[in-house]
Amino acid sequence: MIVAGIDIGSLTGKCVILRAAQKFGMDEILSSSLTHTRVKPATTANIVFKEALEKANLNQGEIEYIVGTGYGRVRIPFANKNISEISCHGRGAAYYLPNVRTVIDVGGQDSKVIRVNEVGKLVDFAMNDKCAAGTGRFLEVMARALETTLDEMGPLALQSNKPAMITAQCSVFAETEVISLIADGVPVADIIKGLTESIASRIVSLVNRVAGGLQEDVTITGGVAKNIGVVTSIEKKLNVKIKKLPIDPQLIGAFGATLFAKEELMKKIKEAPPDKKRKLKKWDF
Amino acid sequence: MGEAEKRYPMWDTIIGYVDRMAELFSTMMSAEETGEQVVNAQFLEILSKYLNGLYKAEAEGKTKLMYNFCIPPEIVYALDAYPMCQEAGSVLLSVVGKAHLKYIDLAEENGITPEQCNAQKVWIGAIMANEISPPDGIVYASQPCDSTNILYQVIQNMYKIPTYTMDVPYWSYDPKSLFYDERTVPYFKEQVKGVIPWAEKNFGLKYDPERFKEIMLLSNKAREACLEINELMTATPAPLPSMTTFSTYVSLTTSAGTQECVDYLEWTRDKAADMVKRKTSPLQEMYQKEEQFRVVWIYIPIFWDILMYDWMERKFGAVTVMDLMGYNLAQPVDTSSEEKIFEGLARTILDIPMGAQSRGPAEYYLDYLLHIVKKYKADCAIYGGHMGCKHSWGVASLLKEELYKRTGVPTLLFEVDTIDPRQVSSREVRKKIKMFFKEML
Repeated sequence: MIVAGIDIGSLTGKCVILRAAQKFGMDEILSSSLTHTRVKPATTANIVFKEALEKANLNQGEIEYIVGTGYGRVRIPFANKNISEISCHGRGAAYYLPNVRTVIDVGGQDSKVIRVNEVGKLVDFAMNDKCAAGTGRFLEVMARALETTLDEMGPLALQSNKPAMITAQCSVFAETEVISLIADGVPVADIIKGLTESIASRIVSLVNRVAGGLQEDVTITGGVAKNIGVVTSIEKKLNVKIKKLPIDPQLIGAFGATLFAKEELMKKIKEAPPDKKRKLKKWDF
Repeated sequence: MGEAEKRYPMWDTIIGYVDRMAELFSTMMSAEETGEQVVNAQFLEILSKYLNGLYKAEAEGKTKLMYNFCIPPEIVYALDAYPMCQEAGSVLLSVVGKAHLKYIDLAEENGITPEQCNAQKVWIGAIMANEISPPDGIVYASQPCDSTNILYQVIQNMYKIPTYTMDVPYWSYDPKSLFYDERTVPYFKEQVKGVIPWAEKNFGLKYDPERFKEIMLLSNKAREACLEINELMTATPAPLPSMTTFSTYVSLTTSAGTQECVDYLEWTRDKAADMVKRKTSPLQEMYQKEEQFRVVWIYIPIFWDILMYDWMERKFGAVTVMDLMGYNLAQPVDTSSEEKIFEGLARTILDIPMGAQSRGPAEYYLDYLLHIVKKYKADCAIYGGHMGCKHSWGVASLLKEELYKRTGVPTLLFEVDTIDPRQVSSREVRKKIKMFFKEML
């Protein structure tokens, strides 16, 4: 059976199409796609879903269940169900890392810490959804101010061993502060390291707000997980080794949504009257 | 021709809503039609009488004494003065609409720091706008917090009127002490008694001990009914809607010591008893839904979205069986002598919701929570932390963690301003609550 998960975030929309194993075999990601978010979540969903379908050489009718997640999840017209990104990230991460108990999701415009149990079920969470400081948007703004790119920021941060102190709590004021630091001749690597330390401090504070505090294993999802500078700073502040996910961490939300889609579909199949139960196709094994 | 009665826009805004709702409710499904009163407008009638009482007091030349929500109104009624509960005015205005927002802004524009609790800023702004009646004096207890204390001093300074502060003692934790030790009650009793000579001296009021006793007898009946309601709410399914905690609390805060308050609370208690006997609930009878979750709301409600309780019931079958303000610990007072009455009143103030939890170490708040979670067989707790409430934010995470560790009950903790809807929207709060019920529990 083939299911899809669509994650419409504040900065990017993601889609994962999964061939879900019903009884035997492994689940298989058939395709994934990512696009920048448009003004209307429905538009983003259509675009990213279409891209994923094309890559998998499928048409929409072959997708048996779709779960939407993310900020724009309630506006995906063709989704069968919507589930919060908190649950989806937790579930997706736990699928690949069964021992994970703390999932840190640093997204475009919010950051969260998710506590899951041994079956990936959501147990508690804490989020910073009031302020863009410490999120992907924060790094985007700073990359522009520093005339660098998001991809370059991570490796640059690792070059510094004297991080600049960024004192401003707010993204807007932090940008002003960064510009002052540039004018004072502070090396770019030191400034970027200071920014990653600032994000890491916020994350640590969120981790401490979740019931039980830090529990290993820890992993990180969302686009900012691809910034090695941020990941290293978080590891240092938490004094843990962050477990790496085997797929693009930015896709974990959409992937988690496919797992929920699989679950819902299995439930439907189980509850269907005998004459309506679909026959298993040979490739489901 | 007589002088036209002076009206106060802030007060009239609340009265307009309350009177209209009372009128609507009283025309709905009367006893003649159904054989039983389905909707009770008594709470609204209590409020209407209390609010309109301000104008009656002015017409009769009565003294108007402002007091804070951590003092019950009985002592003010005993002095034959009009009790102006500052927080009741602010809270009720935020319940009925958005008219209070301009007062908050005005207060901040004129020097009140934005970081402070908004519960007092509404009144301060209304004073600045000249849209509320000035009291003749203020009596308040120095609980639950610094914000209240400071802002009452601001009001005192603005009106330049006599103020009496009851000094509520802090104490160190003693698990056996039941909230206070052998020094607390005698000390505080003298604080409470001190209101009488102060009021007599400053306003020429005449204290009548017999009248005080009558008021306390009525107060006892109301508080007994409230205690019975609290016991009945331990039943499964919960026999009263979630909004009950708000209405019982507001009734006692504004009208304890009056016959109307007794009538309302006794009706509510009888209704609850009947529901328990028939093993049914308002959720079943009105919405044909089963109770799915029993919630303790371990802080104050979000006043500007008070119907959130109702939404939780209809959407998730989640009944708020108790909250911080509804769980009134105050016992009926011994009326055998005047000294006993003052002692009882002192204990009532020491036990008052929020005051009791806030004037000592965190262990008291935690003990209280553990107690109500177990007593009410709660499935979960919700803590909508008011942004201006610094000292309770100091314990919020601790409470959440310990509650989970000791009872396994999860808590949804989030920031909100319970008076000002502009800080965090209803949409954002409801999103979190939905996720909590749908995905966490």
